[in-house]
Amino acid sequence: MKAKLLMTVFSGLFIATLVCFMTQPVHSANISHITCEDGEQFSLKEWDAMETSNIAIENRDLIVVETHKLRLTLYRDGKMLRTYPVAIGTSKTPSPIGEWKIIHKGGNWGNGFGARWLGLNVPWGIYGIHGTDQPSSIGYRASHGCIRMLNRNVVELYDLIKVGTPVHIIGDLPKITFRREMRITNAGKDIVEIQFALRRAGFNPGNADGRFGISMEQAVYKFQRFYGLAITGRIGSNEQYLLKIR
Amino acid sequence: MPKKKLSWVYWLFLVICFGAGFLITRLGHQPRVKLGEQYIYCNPHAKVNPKKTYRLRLWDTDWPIQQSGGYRTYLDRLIRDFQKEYPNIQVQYSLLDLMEGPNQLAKALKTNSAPDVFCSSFSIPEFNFKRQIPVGFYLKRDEKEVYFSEALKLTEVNGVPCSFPRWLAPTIWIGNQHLLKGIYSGEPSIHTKGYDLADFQNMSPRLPRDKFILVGNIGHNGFFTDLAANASVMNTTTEESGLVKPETGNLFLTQTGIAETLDQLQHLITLRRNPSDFESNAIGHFLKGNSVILAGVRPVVYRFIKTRLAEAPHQNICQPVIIPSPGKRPQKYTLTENGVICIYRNKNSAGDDHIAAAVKLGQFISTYESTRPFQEMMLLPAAVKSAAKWCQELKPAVGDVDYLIQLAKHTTLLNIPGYIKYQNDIYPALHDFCANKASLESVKAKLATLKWQ
Repeated sequence: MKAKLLMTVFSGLFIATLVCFMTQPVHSANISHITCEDGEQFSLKEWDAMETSNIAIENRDLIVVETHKLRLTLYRDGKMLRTYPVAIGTSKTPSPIGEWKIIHKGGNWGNGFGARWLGLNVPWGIYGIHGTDQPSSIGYRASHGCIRMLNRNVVELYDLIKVGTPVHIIGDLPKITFRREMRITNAGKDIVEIQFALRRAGFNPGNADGRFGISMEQAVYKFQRFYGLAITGRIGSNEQYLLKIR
Repeated sequence: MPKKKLSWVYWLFLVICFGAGFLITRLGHQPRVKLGEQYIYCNPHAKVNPKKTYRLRLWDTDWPIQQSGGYRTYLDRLIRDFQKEYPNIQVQYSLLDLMEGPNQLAKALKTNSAPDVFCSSFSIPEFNFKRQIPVGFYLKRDEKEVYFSEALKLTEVNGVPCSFPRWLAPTIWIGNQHLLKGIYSGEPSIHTKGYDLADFQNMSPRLPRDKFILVGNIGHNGFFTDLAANASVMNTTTEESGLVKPETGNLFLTQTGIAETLDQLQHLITLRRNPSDFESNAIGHFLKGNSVILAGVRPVVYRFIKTRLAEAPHQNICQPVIIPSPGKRPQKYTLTENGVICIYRNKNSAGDDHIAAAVKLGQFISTYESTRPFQEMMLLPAAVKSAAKWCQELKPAVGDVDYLIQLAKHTTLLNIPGYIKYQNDIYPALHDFCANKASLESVKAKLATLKWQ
């Protein structure tokens, strides 16, 4: 009887340990430091400690960065809630135009990043919205691509938004050369431009986030069906011509 | 003598007899039409009651058009115009996804909740004997003559038009007149005299070395299928080649035609090596004046090329013109995709007059004169009058679009549905063959396995 009880307890403990082990949060990469586009390094440990809410929630917020006006505006339920002046990337290191999301929130990262860091899911580099120790640069094209804000503004914004908040950076797309063929799982600046072009043509590829995902592939299928092209789900030269980006 | 009291069993028996008699009479006299071997219960003589209010559900495609306020605005206007004629028919519409529409309809048909009127996109739903109304029985002769006869034929099941034809997207061949003039030493007369791919043997020496003869699309409705369809009747009569399958009226391609076409293409490839991107960069090659022909494309591509060249500086090296598909004869067959309007009975259909109202709506949409969205998409209206207006309005911008009307009037239209097998198995082999990467034998072996129907 005792042995049976012990067996049950031990098996229970074993299963519980196994479950705990399996559900432990795992870091997405085994790296301790990452380097931002602005050249600064920060540690992931610090980032984790500063994390306040990395769980995506149902979002009523939208951040719009207008590169022409050098302004960041926070909308809630379609109504303007706050607007701030910002500094954006220079012409050589432009800010990434597209439709991104806040994927992590970080606290004080030390020199260069000011009081807070809001990381974006840009696939070709590390970009974010952050504070600055050079407040005089605000209102200029001065950064390496990140969106710089005054520290007091970024602290306020940080408290207002959650991870998962969409960030639309609006402006002129940089001149780039397109790959001859693009397919699912590809990512890059040229994909953002294709996504905008597909949308202009009336085929919604989802967010213009530079990732050739399933919804973009579906949009390409529709586009090819509409134009009577071979249905491959890939963007080739014909598609680029018809999308008027060639 | 005292009257015998009738028992309750007698009365019950009488009621049952009366009920059964009523039902038998009712069923026997229920209006129906015969389509092939099957009966479909509907009353083509039913009329719309002007004192009754009808509520119809319409499903259409959310067409990706940019101009004139989008497709929704167009449809709103169409419904307003319809209600001027039939103020007692209310229409509630939904716009479906371009690709998902047919699936949504299939699901709705299973639950008897299909719309009263369904406007198809590029996929034509199969005729549903249980729920669909064969509209041909509702149309008088003069009402049928409103449409291109070939467009109406495409909707036939057992010889009866079963849906309203709405538009046509024929597969076309575009020639570069600049290069054709050089080859034919003067104005090409291929529209009247015809030409053959074998002609290129003679043309080849006159064609600059860096130019290609043919680039284009070899998808299921592309140039290969077009060539094969026309080759099938080039040397044989329709009956001999078995092009018409009498029991269904469907058309299919013959193995002889396919083999003939492959031989022609082989000949062509030997003459002038095709670029490996002959399909994926077909538009680019044609725009740059590198190819004599851009084959197997939709008219919307032609419109794009015309617009593009009007803005571009290399206009003189590429002068696009719609040409017939090759063959020493007037073109016989035209591959096409077509849009139709189907009428369904559903759980909300209240009587034959409700169906009649749905038929009126379908007929109105298919013959609506305003064709703005179809101009943008280069889909030729299936109604003759609308097509003429479409052509007139497009001509200043696009040019020789009246040729499309000629195709609709004077050739047999074929809509060969796309096969998963074609796309997965045949297409890669054919592509490699045209790009000179696979042998003729390997493609023939693959093609032999496909039933072109």
